[in-house]
Amino acid sequence: MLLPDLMLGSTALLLERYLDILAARQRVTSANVANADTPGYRAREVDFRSEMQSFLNGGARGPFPAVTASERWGEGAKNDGNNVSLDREMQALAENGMRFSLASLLLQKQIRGVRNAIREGRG
Amino acid sequence: MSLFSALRVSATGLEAQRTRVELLVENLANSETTRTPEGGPYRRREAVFRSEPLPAPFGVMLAGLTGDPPVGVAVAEIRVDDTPPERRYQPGHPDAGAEGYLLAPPVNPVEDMVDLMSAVRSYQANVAAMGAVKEMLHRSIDLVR
Amino acid sequence: MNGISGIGGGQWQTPPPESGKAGAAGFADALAEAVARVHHLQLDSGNEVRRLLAGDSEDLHRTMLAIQKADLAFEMLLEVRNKVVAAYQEIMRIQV
Repeated sequence: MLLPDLMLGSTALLLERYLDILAARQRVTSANVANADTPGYRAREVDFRSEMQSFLNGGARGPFPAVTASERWGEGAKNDGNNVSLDREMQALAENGMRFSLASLLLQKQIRGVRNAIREGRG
Repeated sequence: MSLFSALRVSATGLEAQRTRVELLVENLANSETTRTPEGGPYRRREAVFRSEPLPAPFGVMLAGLTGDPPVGVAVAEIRVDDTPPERRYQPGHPDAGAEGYLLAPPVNPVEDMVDLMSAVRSYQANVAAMGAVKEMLHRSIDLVR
Repeated sequence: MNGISGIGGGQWQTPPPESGKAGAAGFADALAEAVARVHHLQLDSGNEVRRLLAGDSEDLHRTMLAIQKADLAFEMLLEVRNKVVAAYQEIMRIQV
């Protein structure tokens, strides 16, 4: 349960939500990869932009709502109905990783910045 | 913990693909086996995959951020291929029948080879997914450094 | 004593010094509120860690961030306290 941000401000809140969405996305990617050869399995995905958008529109100030994942449509399905594309999942993997690194580094910087500001007040 | 459950999901993928690889290798190794302990030529076996939500405690309370339980994979059954064996006219062969016909496995090695490559690729993809998740977890830990 | 404001918010600014008792009470209130907030964050952080250990929590990054927020808030409070103490000592040193 999250209290409103006292120390880190609204950017940090945004970054935190960003990380949430990325983690959810990663989970979905892992599930897709595990089921790459499961007959009839439909690949799932998280609509990043709409999640971010609904957050920005003030949709989440209190406890963060769940990120929704939906089935991927319009992709070439194999004979058994499975439409997972490993190439696409590998790409998603790389992207997720980079973004997560970036966001967490930015948060780290913010935290350090605040900490420095606190300590600057000394003497 | 939804990232941790992603690791478990990848693990199920690794297990399933491994089984698949083992069966394919066995098929290929026995593509010419005309006599088995059970009698008759070798029969191909294949793994049938099925999606499986992770069991508790991984899945149940960890519906987590996507609101539904993480979905892994499992080998639902190992199906024996019931394609009728190939009949070849080979009277000199020790396993040939009275009329000189030999029953051989209806294995098409090329198909199984291709399948094997696909299985290996899928296995590697699961390894990659696990690696990515581990990396993200490390980054999360870095937040308190 | 200057107020120390956090990035992105001014919640930590102490009210302008007022004369006499009213000023003292105002400051005491603000401090009490700050302490309460820090306490809240600490509880929150503790909860997140407990949930993580029980295998019950949301993502790891959230737990880590909760810990950091509590840490930062506590540090901030510590600095405020140090400043208050220093100011008090300064005042006591003034020879009348």
